[in-house]
Amino acid sequence: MELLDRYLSAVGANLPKPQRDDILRELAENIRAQIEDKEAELGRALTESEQEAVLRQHGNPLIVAGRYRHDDRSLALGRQIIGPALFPFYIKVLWLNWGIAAIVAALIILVLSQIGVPIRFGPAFALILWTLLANTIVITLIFVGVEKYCARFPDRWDVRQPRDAVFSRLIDYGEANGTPRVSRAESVTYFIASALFLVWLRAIAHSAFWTFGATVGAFRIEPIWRHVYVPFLLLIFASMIQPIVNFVRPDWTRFRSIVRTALGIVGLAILYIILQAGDILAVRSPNPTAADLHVAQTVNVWFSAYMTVFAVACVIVFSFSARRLIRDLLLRYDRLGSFK
Amino acid sequence: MPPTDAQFENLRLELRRGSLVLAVLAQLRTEQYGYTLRKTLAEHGMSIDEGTLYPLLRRLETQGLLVSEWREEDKRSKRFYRLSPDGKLTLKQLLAEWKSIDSSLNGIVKG
Repeated sequence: MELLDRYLSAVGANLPKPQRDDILRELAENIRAQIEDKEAELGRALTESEQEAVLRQHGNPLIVAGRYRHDDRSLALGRQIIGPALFPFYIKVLWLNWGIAAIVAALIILVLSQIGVPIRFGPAFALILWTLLANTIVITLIFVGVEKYCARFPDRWDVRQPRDAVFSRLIDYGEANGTPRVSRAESVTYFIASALFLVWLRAIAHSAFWTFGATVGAFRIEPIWRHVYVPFLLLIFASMIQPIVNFVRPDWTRFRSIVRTALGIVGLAILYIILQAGDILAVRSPNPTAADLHVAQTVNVWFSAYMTVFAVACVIVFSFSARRLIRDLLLRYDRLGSFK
Repeated sequence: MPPTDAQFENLRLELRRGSLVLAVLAQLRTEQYGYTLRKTLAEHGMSIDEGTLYPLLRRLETQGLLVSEWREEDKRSKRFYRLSPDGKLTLKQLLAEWKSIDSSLNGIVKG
């Protein structure tokens, strides 16, 4: 009954806590009765694939759990785009996301106010609102995609890994039939993160406001930034190509390792130059106020800290990619050796 | 343009959806548990997915139309459902509505 247990556990993960045990107990009894009925009919125990068929008949665990939630609300724009089965999860994710976004925004405002940047209610409120709106749009689009996928392919979920129900096929986890693959979720996430970083970098080139906010008039960015800007831009642009290629060819795992290892080396070199150069922000005025000097100093300290963290992250990514690449090459060498 | 298979399937499901509640309520005039209820409905030509039926039973119970209790049968503990007094009244009203729709539709179809 291992398959049944896994199925029940996948349904239970998405059930409301107060009724979870009772619902699972009933569901388990009904499924067992159905299996026993079939076994009596066939005069033998069900094979694993027959058990799989029984569970598949019950439906995608995520959708089944959603039906137990007694929540008939849905999202409709003209026609229904997120149905009642997925709607509770959509709301749950949305609340979680809004909560995290609110905490992050509050922390940013707190830090800025601590370093003496004047915070005005209007722009701060607009920034928070815009962040929440952008997050809401992205989450809604993801759920609309999942809804459409479930409606189109209701049977496409892995009975052996039911916890990944909807998402396993949609995003294609790291391995298929024992063959290593680059997860499509990873490719999409990597691409979005790189694209956002690229947009931010481009925005800095046009207006330093995006980096230093309303206080930008009193400061200037040091020349080092102009020197590393284009290589940095090219690096990010190059890093966006790898997820595109791996989205189309998830089986090209070595390609990922090679590109990431190479980009890791270049990225670390650029970060080294930035960190060596020291300050990124200087006060424009020849007679700066103490407050301006304090802001510049704090930003420089924070920037150095941020770049150091970024460098550490690059080292981690680089070491993972390099390790994977070396392992792949050794494996290939072993295989070639075994053919001789 | 004739409807596609998918369009027809959607229309068919929509037509059956309303009558499923009526069928479940009618069948639960006698006590049953989830699996046997599904089998009985299927034998009468009213097939319903497990993933739809079991949550539906819970919903009808929450609405006060069904009552349930855990009981042992064949050395197994099962949750048995039956109509509540409110459920009996609702079933009566729904059946009257059903007959009225049936007769109206017959009139319309026959012209």
